[in-house]
Amino acid sequence: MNANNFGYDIIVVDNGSFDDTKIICEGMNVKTLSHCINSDINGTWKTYLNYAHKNDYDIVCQFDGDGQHLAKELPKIINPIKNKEANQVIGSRFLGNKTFQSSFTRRIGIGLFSFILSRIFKYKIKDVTSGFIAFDRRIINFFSTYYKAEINDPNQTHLLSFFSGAKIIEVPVEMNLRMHGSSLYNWLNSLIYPFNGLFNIIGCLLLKKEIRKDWTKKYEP
Amino acid sequence: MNLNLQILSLILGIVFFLVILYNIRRRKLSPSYSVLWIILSFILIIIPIFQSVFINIARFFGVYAENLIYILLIGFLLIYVLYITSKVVRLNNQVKELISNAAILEDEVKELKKK
Repeated sequence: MNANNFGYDIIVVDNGSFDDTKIICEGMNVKTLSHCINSDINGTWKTYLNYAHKNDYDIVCQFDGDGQHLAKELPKIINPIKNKEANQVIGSRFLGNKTFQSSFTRRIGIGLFSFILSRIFKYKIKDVTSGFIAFDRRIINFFSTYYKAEINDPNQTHLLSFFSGAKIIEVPVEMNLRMHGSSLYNWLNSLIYPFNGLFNIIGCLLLKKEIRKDWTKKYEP
Repeated sequence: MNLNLQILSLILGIVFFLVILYNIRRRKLSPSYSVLWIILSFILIIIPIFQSVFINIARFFGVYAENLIYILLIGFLLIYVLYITSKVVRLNNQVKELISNAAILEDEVKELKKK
């Protein structure tokens, strides 16, 4: 971790795990925020956004700890925000040369959601489930002050930040296959996932007007 | 309706009401959560007393009086489950917020101790 540090602050969010995450990270002098209880798959999201909001960070980048994401790709997704080209950048596996192959069924699912999101955004967006995302201050603000409710999948994040008036772009990045741990989608979850995802999208669409009315007017003169 | 059924309904309603009151007094139930249960016990008490009204309502919908009870009960339970679900969602959000805030505060305390 430290070897590839480009001068960013690293924060490890330990979601109530039983292994020695905390001790190892502290040994490496990395800041750890550890949950006292496991707060589900998406619980970490709240912690790092709240942390970023509290400490006035300009850019936050979500980075999975399973070795799937490469630290050398970080500048790629952070530069568009630095140059004020976008508010949210998604590191895409499917743009550019393909280094990442996922299973057929999963690609169907991703294709479906990317189709729906592309229709809503009115421009093409390909890798909607990527966990390699960077946010700017505007989105940090939005999610830590206005929309505090639970977020169940990345689609929801993209949609809500899009409704809040953010510009979302996608850049090609390289990714490894995961080295540790397992995917959270087993066969049962992957059966339920599409329906869940569709409901999440519908739920977000219902919020569209409210977000535009409340948030955009209040925080953006 | 059968007289025995009327008496049973009346007794059940009253017992139910008393149990709820007892639980509220022992602080095992909060009044705001038990409003719907109290309404249910009132329904159980009212049905045998105003039996003819109830039977007329049943006739209006074209069902037997006994079936109307089932319909009302199922409707009631659905409403209650919906209510509970909304509470669970709210609690879930609050707990997550608290966990994340606790983690951040713990870190801040650690930083302060170091100094």
